[in-house]
Amino acid sequence: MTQWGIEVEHLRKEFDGKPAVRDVSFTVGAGTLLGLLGPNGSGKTTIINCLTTVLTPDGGRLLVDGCDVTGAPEQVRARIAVTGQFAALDEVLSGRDNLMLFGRLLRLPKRQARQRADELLDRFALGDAADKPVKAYSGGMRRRLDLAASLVVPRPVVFLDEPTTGLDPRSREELWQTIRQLRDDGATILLTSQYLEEVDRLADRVVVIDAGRVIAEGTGDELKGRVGGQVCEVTVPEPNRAAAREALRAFSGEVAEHGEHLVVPVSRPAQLVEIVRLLDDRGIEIDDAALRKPTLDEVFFALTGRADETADGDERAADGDAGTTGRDGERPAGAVPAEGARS
Amino acid sequence: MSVAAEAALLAGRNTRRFLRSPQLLGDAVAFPLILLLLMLVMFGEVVAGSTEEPYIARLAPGIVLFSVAYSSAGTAVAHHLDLRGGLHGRLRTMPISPVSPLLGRIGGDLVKFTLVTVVTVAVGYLLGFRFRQGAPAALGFLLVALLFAVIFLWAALLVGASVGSAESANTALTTPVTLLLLLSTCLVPLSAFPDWAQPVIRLNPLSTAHSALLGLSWGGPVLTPVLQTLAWAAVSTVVLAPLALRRSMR
Repeated sequence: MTQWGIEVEHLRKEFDGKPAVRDVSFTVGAGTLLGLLGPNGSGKTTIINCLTTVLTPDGGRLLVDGCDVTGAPEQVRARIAVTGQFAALDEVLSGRDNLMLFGRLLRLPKRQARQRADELLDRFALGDAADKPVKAYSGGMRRRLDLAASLVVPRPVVFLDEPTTGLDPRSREELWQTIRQLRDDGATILLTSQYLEEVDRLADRVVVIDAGRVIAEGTGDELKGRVGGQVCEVTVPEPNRAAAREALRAFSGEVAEHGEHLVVPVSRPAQLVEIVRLLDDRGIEIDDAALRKPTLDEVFFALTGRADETADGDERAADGDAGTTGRDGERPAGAVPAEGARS
Repeated sequence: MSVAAEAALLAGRNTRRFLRSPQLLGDAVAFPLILLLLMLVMFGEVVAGSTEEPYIARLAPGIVLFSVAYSSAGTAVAHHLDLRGGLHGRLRTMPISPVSPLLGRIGGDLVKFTLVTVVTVAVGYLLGFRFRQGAPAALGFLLVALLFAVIFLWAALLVGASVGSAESANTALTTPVTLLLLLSTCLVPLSAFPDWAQPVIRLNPLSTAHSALLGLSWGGPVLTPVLQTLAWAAVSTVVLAPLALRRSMR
């Protein structure tokens, strides 16, 4: 067992001359969970595809559980479990048949493959649907089966590419539980996400990437500290909000608006009083003003200079199989699932 | 595990998938039967008398070949969906040979084509089609049909991995295959074509395989058309298989 589950040094990858990953380095300690956070198109999936031997990197050195990804891809494949953005399952076959197929491809004898499939179906609460075709599964069930399929034979390193995208809050919570369990069992996990909350809840460490570059790295708390420690959240009823925002802008350039709340980074607690006084001087009525720690959303905003428009309300169709749910209409602008790396 | 064992597992998946989809199963079997009856009614009278053999002796092998070639479009669509849907992506992160998924697809479809051939021949029997050359020739009939299938299966995998959508995977094959049918000896004898066109018609893979099947059922030359069909299958494998593999790995 090496100290690092995953080591990425100066990874570069381009598609048709367009750089997707520019010079990314990070490490994931053995048995820990690293959250790779970034908006759509930032290069997350490309990094995963390079690490899982699906793409050949244009430069850099990648080690997975001590094995070189370009030098010994077969050894890497024997050490990893991968769950991608799209449920990688046969829609027509039953859940059990899917798990048995992957088990047998991984050299389990037939009886053992079946035993393992039943075990996993139980563990992932899919026992009742074991013999139904996957196309009859809900989005949450599909994701759980997909994760189960990558765990048929336990692997020391697990890659989860946006595992909860498109799931309802309850299914997401259940999947998080499973992911925590996996880490507690000792797996090294690299998880990508656009959901800041998800990374905040699960990850030991976070790497934030944007446009193919690492822009920040640390624990969730360290990253939050980078915004200046605290933010002041002012609750302003309409019709005063626009005026309040204008006033606050004089105070700080970075005013974020979340519903009826306006959020401003502060450097000293005393600035709360200054803000309240400023608004009072201008005759702007407010409901509440309070100091709190910034959320990762606000960290992201501060790091990239833009709000992450895809972080919430994102209810997109979760799988790429034609003929199932065509919910494209519900896709918010900018939340196209393709990341250029998939083809 | 050997490539063969992996491919067999994946072929098993494809066969199970096919058997579990009543619509796919129905389409695969109904299509050749409808075509068989339709063509027999339409051309039976016209062609009858111009050849030594009854029309059904020509038509039944022709429909077997056309059904096989035509359903390669389904192979292309299925491969395309595996690539796009992520299943192929998962297989690529597993310690198995990169060729196994393609061979598994081909193996599964050969099982399907065996069923199509058997059903078409069975219905052909009701309509007067006969194996006059004995049981080994009948087995040869099936093997040549499957050898012929290989030509189009590699093309289908290449198309499935190259096109942008399932729809275009479908039309990219059905149109040329239909053209090839019309320019072959499957429906009408070689003598029905103008002299200048005959050399080309004769080399059409549908024609070479058809001559072989005709020889193995009604009677006639076998060795030359079988070798020609084998040559087509070899060329397709050598030229198209590496391309299909490379495209599938993008």
